[in-house]
Amino acid sequence: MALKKFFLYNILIFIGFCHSSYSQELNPFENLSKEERIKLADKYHDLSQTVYQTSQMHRIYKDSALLVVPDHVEYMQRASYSYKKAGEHIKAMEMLNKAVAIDTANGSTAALEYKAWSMLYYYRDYESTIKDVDKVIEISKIPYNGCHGESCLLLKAQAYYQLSEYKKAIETFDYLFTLLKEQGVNPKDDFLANFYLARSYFKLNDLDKSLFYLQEQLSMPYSVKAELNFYAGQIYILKNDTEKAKQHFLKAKELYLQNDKMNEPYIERFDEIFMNDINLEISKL
Amino acid sequence: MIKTLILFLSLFSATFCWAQTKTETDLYVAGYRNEDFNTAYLQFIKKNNDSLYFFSNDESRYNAMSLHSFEKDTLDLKIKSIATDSKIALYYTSDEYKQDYHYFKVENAEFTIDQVREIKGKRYTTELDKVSMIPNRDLKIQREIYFLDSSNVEITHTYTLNNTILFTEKEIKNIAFQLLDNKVFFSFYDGELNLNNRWYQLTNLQKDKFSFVHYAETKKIVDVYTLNSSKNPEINTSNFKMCWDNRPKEYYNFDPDISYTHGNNALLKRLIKDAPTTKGNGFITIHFAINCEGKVGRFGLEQMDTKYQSASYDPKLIKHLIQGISKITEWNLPEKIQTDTHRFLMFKITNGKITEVWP
Repeated sequence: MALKKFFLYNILIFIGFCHSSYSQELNPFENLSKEERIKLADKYHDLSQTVYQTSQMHRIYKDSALLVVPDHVEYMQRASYSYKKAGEHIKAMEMLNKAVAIDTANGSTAALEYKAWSMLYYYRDYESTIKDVDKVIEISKIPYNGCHGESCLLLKAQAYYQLSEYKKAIETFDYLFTLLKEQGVNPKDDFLANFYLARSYFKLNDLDKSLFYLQEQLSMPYSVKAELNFYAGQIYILKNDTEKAKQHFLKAKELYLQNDKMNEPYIERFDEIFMNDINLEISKL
Repeated sequence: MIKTLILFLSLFSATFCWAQTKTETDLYVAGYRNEDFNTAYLQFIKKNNDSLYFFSNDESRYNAMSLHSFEKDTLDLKIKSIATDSKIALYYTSDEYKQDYHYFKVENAEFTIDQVREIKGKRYTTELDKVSMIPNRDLKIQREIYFLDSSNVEITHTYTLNNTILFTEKEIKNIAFQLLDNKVFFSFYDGELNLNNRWYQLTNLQKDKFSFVHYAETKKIVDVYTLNSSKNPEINTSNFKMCWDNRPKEYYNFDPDISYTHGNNALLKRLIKDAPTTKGNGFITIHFAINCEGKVGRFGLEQMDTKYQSASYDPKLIKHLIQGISKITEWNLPEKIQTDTHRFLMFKITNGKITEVWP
């Protein structure tokens, strides 16, 4: 009996030891209070900002922050940037999807907003962009919600445009403009929305409406003029007005050389133009 | 009792005297400077108790410093040192200057020059996860070093996917040897050997293989090279070399971004011409370096499905894309660029065909 007890105790001690070691492996910061953990994670996060974003050092600091606060949505999302910007997308999406799952489970849409933006510009995954934008609006109940610095509806409309669903794109732009008016914002101030609205009408062969929005934007002080002139020139070609087309193409070339053109860091915008495109159109005249 | 006391005192005195006279000299090799950029640095340190003696490949050029941190020296530099048994890190900071150097204790592997001469005229191959810090997940990358003679090597990188050779790159480099405390170090360089090169320590040398130890991104890296009985097969060999041995800058670190001069639509048209088809839907990301002269090389690959999980596409298509990208010279590089750049192109596969390219 005594021998049995001895073995039993030893087994229990062994299990207890293993469990304790395993727990420590799971979370080496278990002994810290919540405040201490947040402070330490902030420190690691700050350190990550001092080194090159796609470097191993940056990732080590970011991983360390997440080791301290494993469910920190913002740090998880920001840790994914290093991989996304380096084009290591499997890892980037693994982290981002995890951040979105935690965030939306808590009723927040910040990570999902960023994902919708990434889906459009970084992954050209238009179906996911539309799905994510709809979910952002459904959860937040704010139809004019922003997605990482741009209107979510602008992303959705561009996604429809890229899917060649031009009528849906136009409907979405119109809805966005209605919301902007309700907010007291002049829809004409949104260059990208008006530009892609014009492009959507062009694709539907509604040249007059397309030209209307392009010319309206040409009169705005902060629009991007090279692209507007280029696509206006293309419309005049189709209208058999070679002289006006030439004027617009030459203007597009002049503005292009002045760098008054689309110029987005990290990505190329849809329908962004290049010098060869302009020269080709001029050569055809 | 007295005998025991005398014996104890004698032992104590002997130990004390030995501790006082013992000097520890350790050799450290520079792994890199700028830890996040992994910049090659050609230097050694000898640590003697709490003093550090610096020297490069020319042993006559010694500097010395005490292994302490200084708030400010005569040049207004703040120096912080962190030393462990295996590593010494030195951080220099001033109002305008920030530099960190990382030295690693050399491996205890001794050779003679006669032993090293055995590798002359032979070809050796190793397998790498990635090359020149260009991200790679799916390509098998082999580096072959052909020791042409005592001062030159031919280095070949071969990129393979599912046993299909996709691309080969070749470069000739000078080679330098350094024998220190019977430890052997190699450096491969262009032009003159200088501080911007890297030491590789020889840690194993047998009849049919050898190993190099070097350091990158906080880690010790061991490359095991095995003897090739014959030359590796080559496909579409290109001559390519990086301008620097460090982490290339990202394409978006420039204004505007470094990209194809004629835009993505023109690039797509160029790259899909005669492109083989594949199966399914998803994404192919091809990573590469654009060196300071605008030439393309050092490839990496990541294949994904539409759920952003690892996938596999026809190697013929990947080969077509890599070979097409390798020929591109129209990059909008800044006029006086001196750095190498990491760039990637992402391709969307829709029903087996490439439909878009970006970023």
